Amino acid sequence: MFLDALEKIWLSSGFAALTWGNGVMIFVACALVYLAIAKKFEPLLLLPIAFGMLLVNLPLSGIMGAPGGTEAGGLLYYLYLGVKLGIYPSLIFLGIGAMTDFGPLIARPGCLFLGAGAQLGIAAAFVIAVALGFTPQQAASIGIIGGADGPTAIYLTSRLAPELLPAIAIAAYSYMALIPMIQPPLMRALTTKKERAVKMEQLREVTKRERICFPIVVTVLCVLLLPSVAPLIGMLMLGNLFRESGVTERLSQTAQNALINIVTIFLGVTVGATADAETFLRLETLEIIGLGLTAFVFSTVGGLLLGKLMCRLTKGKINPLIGSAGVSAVPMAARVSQTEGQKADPTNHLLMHAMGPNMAGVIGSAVAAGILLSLFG
Amino acid sequence: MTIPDALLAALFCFSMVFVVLACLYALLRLFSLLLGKPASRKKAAKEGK
Repeated sequence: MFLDALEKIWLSSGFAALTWGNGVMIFVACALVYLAIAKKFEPLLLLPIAFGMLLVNLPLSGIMGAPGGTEAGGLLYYLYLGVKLGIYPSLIFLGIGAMTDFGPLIARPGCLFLGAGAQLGIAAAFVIAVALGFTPQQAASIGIIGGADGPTAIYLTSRLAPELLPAIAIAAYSYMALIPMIQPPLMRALTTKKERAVKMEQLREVTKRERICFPIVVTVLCVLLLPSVAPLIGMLMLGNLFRESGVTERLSQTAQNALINIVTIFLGVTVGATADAETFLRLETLEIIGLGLTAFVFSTVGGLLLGKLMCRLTKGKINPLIGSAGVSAVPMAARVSQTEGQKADPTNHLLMHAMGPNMAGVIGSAVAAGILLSLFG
Repeated sequence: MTIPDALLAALFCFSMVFVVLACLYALLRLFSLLLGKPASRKKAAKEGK
């Protein structure tokens, strides 16, 4: 009788239901936890993603289960609705807008073209993904990894190809963390030492009126041209207006601290929780990771080539290294430009100049997402 | 979707990003003329330049 009871307990436990796939996913989750804690690879998002992945691969918990009959769904099922409905990425953009100083971009609007050039990876990865047999919707979602913007990638993927969400989110955030390793070799290969040592003129002062008008102008123009981009650009610019208006300090502080932190937790855990063994352990996950790297490389190259072109057109007034900051990973890509510039000339300070293309990249990748959504949504 | 179609779609997407950001560039230049310069002129006048 005692043995029967033990057998029943064993059979009703998660251990009996554990598959080899769950085992592999638990291992992957632990590896991501290690990368987030020990190597500090985007820990704010990678840690909740990894833990969500761990939770969903423990069988019988039902934490991601859909409601059925009179039974309620699992906790993460309801929290995931925020991803599914595109709420979390937009709220994260609200926080990013409140944190961001668009001054360098307003002072040098030509940087917008660098932000546009650095979307080359989206186009390149899209074509390669279609050639590999992905549907246009899936290819567009894979391509957006090249925008180097996590919330935009999650927003577009949740709308076009939700089945690829975990692989794309993990690829996007992992490569963003790896930018200091991916970009420098390309920067050195595509620019001469003379170009890298170019010192740029100090940026002009931006008036308060310009700062206040900027979010309104961007919102009106982008949303009129591409209505589907309203949730991302609208929230980004609302956050920025909170910051620049000077009369909504409390809202700005909430958006850039408490709100963004809460939403990051929900977004990370629920995206991770979509990575169950069945959907994640496929060949296409490896293809997505490879295509994500290709997208990042092409985006960096696109930004650098446009930077070189602008360097020529302005007769050496623009340092082409700031072009690579057009991928929107803020502020890491700008820091990489600064570091590489200082390697060529220790007295060269490119950080503020690189923030312009960096901000342009955020707008550019959101615009690209809006275009892809209009084409394939 | 065939590869030529994908190439066309990619080219369209990439060029549309340029078009939208070019419009934004034009607007920002306009706004800097309308809002940026007078302020700096006033400041320069105050400083007696």
